[in-house]
Amino acid sequence: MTNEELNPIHYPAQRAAKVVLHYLNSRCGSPYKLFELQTVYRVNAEDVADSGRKYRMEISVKEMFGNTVEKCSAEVLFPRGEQQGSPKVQTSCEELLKINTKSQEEALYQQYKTRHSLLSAQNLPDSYGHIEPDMTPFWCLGALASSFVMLAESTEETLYNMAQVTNITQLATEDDRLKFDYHILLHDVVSQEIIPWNLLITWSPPEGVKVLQMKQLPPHQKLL
Amino acid sequence: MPEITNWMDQIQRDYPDVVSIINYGQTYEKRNINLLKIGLNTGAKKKAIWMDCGIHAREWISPAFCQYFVRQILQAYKTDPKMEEMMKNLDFYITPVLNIDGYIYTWKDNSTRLWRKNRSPGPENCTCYGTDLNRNFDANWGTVGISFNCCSIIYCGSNPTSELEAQAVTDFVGSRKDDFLCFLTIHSYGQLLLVSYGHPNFTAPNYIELIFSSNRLQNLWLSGSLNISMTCHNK
Repeated sequence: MTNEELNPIHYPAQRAAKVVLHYLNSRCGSPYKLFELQTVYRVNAEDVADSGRKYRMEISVKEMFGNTVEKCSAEVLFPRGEQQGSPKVQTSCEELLKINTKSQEEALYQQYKTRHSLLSAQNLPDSYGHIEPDMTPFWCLGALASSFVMLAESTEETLYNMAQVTNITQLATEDDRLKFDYHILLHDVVSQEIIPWNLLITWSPPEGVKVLQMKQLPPHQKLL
Repeated sequence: MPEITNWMDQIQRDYPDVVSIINYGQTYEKRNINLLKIGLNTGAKKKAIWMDCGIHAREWISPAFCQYFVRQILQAYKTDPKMEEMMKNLDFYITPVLNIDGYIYTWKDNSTRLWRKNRSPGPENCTCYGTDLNRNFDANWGTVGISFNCCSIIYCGSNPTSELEAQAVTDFVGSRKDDFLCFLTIHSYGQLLLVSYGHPNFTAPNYIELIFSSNRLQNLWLSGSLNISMTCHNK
């Protein structure tokens, strides 16, 4: 199929749009700034010879903490055939990225840079969907880090969300970044699978999130 | 789960003229699968609506919704003439938790929270547990959207309705199929309205009607007319 106008509320369009959000969160999120998909207005899918399938779309994106919404256009190219690798994304979203969370980020950074003990936390959210308010930025950081994985792993047949941050262990660093070992659970709506990943990340207000290592883990014994 | 069972008993005690509890099967771990039959007993043969919740263990909001729904219709029928009319003309058959064993397992500890299937053991050569009950029904069984790998989260079982829980639903609804106007199964998450048959090559004979109903529900939702808010009340 070469060129096709997709129904924007149906699954295939929604899956493609989700990838844009993984891209935005991995590039432009912060512990106080996380983006979610609001509405998909239009999606057109077209085969690109020797590259893959390109989805051109009009969507709206919402910043979760501040509730601001922006309409943007975006393009997602899923590699096909001989091409391998992650989808390639371009967006026109600008306004949302300008949201300033610097002072909150700085306060968080200072607090955890100067603390005597290293952070250790589990189960965000817990089994009841609850996250302690002062842990929310770390849940958010987990979501941003997960976005790197979700972007890398996404195909036209997946729809990823981060289900839970199972464990966070803060590690000591020599430099001025904060460093964390994250154990997260991804959920793919299509296959319904829960996929554990381990991520080693650093964060600082000027540099944002950097993923040093990411590794898929085997499923938990109790879920087999 | 004990809270839910107690609540069902309480509801039946509080509304004895419209509510009865029917046991229609047992789970693998031998727990009783019960539903609430809700409707005014007119003595006539009545049409029915089926709703099951909690077929997937980890989708906790689903059993919560069934309980919410039951409370809403029971509160409304005393005051809302339309609801009273419905109670006269229809029976609601509502199963708050179908996959009871799976649901209980998700309450065990932090690592079991995301269990989905039932708790029957896998076939002989498999160490994994559970069949996805929502892949075990005899409708294009074992064709699309399933796995024959017993460790898979969407393992469809050894045979169609091999699972007691799926068998219970099939037997109950099957033996009354001319009575049922509507069959609803509640899941999370996704904000999706899914209609039969979930197979690209098979369309339901009443497909147009199914799509029309879904569109109407979707429009209600989008217009903001549906007002659903649930809060948990700590005992």
